[in-house]
Amino acid sequence: MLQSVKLKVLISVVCVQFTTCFAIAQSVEFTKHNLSVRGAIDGQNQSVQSMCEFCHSPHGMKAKVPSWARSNPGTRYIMYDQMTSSTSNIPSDPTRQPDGSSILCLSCHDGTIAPNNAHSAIAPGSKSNLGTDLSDDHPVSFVYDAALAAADGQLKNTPLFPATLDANKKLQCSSCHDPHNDTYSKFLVASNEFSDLCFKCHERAYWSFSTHCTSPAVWNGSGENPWSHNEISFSTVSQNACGNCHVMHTAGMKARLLKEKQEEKNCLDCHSGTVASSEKNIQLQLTKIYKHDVFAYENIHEPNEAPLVTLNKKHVECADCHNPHAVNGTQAEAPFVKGAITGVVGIDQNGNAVNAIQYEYELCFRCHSENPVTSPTTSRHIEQGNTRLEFASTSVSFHPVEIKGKNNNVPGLVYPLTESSIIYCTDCHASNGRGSTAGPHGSIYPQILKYQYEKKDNTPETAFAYELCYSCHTRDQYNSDIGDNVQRKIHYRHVVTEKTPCNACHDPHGISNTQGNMVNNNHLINFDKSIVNARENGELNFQDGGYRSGQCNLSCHGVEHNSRGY
Amino acid sequence: MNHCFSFKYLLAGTLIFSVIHFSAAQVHNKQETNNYSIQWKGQYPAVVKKKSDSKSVNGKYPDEDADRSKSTRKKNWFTDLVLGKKSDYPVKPMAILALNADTFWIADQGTGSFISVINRVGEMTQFGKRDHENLPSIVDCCFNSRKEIFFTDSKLNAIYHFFPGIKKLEVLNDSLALEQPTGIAYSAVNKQFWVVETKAHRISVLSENGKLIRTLGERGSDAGQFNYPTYIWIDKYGTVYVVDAMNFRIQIFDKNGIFVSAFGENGDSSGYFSRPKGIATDSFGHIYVADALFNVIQVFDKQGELLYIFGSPGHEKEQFWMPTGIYIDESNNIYVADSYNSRVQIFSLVGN
Repeated sequence: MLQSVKLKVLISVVCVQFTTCFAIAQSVEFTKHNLSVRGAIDGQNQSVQSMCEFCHSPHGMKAKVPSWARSNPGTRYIMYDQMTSSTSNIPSDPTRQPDGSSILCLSCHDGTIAPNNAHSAIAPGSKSNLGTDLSDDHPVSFVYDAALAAADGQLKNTPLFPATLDANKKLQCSSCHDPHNDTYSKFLVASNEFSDLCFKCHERAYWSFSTHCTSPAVWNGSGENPWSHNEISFSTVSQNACGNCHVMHTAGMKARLLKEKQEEKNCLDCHSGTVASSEKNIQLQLTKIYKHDVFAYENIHEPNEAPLVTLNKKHVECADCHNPHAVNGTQAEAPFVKGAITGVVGIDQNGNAVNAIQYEYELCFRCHSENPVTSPTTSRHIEQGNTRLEFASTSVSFHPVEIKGKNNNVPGLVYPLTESSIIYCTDCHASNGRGSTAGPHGSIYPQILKYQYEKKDNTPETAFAYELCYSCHTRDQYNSDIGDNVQRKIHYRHVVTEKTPCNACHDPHGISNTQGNMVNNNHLINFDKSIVNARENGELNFQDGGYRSGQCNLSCHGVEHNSRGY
Repeated sequence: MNHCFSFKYLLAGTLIFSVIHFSAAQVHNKQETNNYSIQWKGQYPAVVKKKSDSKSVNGKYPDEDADRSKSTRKKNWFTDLVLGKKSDYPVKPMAILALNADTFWIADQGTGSFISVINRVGEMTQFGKRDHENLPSIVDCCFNSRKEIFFTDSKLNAIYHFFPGIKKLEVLNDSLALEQPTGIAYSAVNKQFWVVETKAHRISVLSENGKLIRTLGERGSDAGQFNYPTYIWIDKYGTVYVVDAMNFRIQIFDKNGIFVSAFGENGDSSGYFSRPKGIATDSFGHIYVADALFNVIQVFDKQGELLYIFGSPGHEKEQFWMPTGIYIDESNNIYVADSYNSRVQIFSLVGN
């Protein structure tokens, strides 16, 4: 009775195997993996067996005995497809070599029988940040378990079907490729439109709100096709998703599997007016003379680098300010971040690192605070290279970038600004020109200023000379000699008559309370030493006398100001 | 007295004669004697730098960092071009050419370069300024009679002529239209290059300056037909040995391309082929075939009888991880490109 049951079970198992094999064989038949000779020549359907033998070695052959070593009885090799057996001859490998079914793929895909698109597939360390590994393909042959997902932080605990792991819970070529089935092209197990296949394993913070996820932008046909790196590419940014920048095999930048080795090129391939809209043509801005020079640095930026950039690793790349997985079009009011710079690290007003900036200035403080990558261009009475200290809320006087300004009475502010307004760094530092992309990419004006800002002495006053200041402070405060002492004696007299630039007396950032004080440095007073000199007795100061009054001790244009007041 | 003297000689003569006769009989035996063995001689690089040895900081390994940050900074690309990159180890060696164990060259597909190893010191010659301009798919190489190197790139569909002394590189006959050239060998007897075009399932025979003379073979499984042929070796007599990979056999042709014999079949045991790669013959005419899925080198005679097997899967001495190219020099030193162990192992044939 038992034997009969066993027999029935055996028969049904055999039948199922046969039908499965047959079904699989039907799908291999018309793919590139049908390596059989006859099938190609006269298009006839060869017997199922001989389409499979190229990867599935026939077994049961009697091992031959080598004549020179008759004591060796010969070996029967247990091939990859019997990996579930613990006596497999292709052992699991702890030292970052491909193993398991990946070996079978690589044995043909090495440039001999098939193209070697995956020629350096090596398993990673424990983090998704692969370091400067020489492999330029998606890693394989590593154990993918909950521990890996936890260490990485942006992986699902276990891959979703149809991405599968092998019997040893390792990711192999077969996790993404089914060599029998070419339905989705390139033998992928699922369509990779919208990077569906990538998201079987990867989880990317902020992604679903990102423009790169949702944008219907297409390539306008000019220049290089930005998606030529992909063997399967789609027509919109949204459809290409991860594939906009990443490539699985033979990546140009190996460590992040990015298509281009030069970091900025990954972005500029589309942000050059060819895919992204013309408002986002960054390439154009970067042709201007004063810019954040992303071209000058290569291979220094690391995605997990400390928010505070150090001078020995000084660099700037698109990725230092933008998180390409998070960027979106959300608007905001100063000081809050807009969508373009969400999801980036920064340094807060106290000098502490933050993982995701809340305020725009936190991003700038990465490089323009404790380790300033630039120095002030004006030599001032009080020198300060750390912008964070200049704008601090405790500072004596400051443009309201971090908090609302101290002065409750600032006449002539351009609507809609008021004394309670806060401004962005990028209200002054941005690309020049109407309709230019927002952000400090490149400008024709030094210090990447948005408008002209003349600093030289003897500058004739025009709307254009101090365009930057006049963008917020109405010009008629300064170029008309009608009004009180401040307007006539200070501003009109100095700016128009004496042709003195605003910069001669005012420090546009701020003065830290560790260096200045409320008597001498209110109203951003911090003299430009190349224009303003000390008196003969050595005195050089401004003294605030209260509401719209004060006096100066200095020497300018040869004229000694001995407590000259107003 | 004379009488005894000559008898001694007679006896000695008989003894010597019978010894000679006996050993001659042994040599004429159909089966090979057991006097050969193959012994491990060395490897390059001498120490396999296993990444798992060094401690990783932020996922980067210390020696990698030093190499990269120094040699890939933009301002250093010029010195790299002139002086060569700092790391001279192969990443994925595919083929070897050797004059002797102290002078050999490695064709490294991993970096798209050639590495000369002279007196145990390696030196990489890279072709191209930046990584992505490197040759993407170097497969096989051979010497010509002047010991200049010719190698194939199966993605660029070209044969390159490399002058190792002056490090000059040029394309051999850029008007050739090759379809995935892989194996290449030089016939000293005919002064011809024989290059295997895997995608076209044929061999192209070229003159010394790369001009196409004729082609051999077509797709099929009969004698003289191929199914994805890959590697090729030509011995000093001009006999041609072709690895007919997806027919799982070796085909032997004479110097005029006339089919002589074939042996081998698909299987998972010793003496069969699973993923045959490089092929070479020693000075006795034994045929060595690397098998990348068995991770062994199998040695056959011309009839296809299995003579010897060496190697096993692994990373230690005498173990392989997907061995590909194989080369044997005149002194029977055997060089194996142990591709995924990123090294070349050298063995020697010992015996009469």
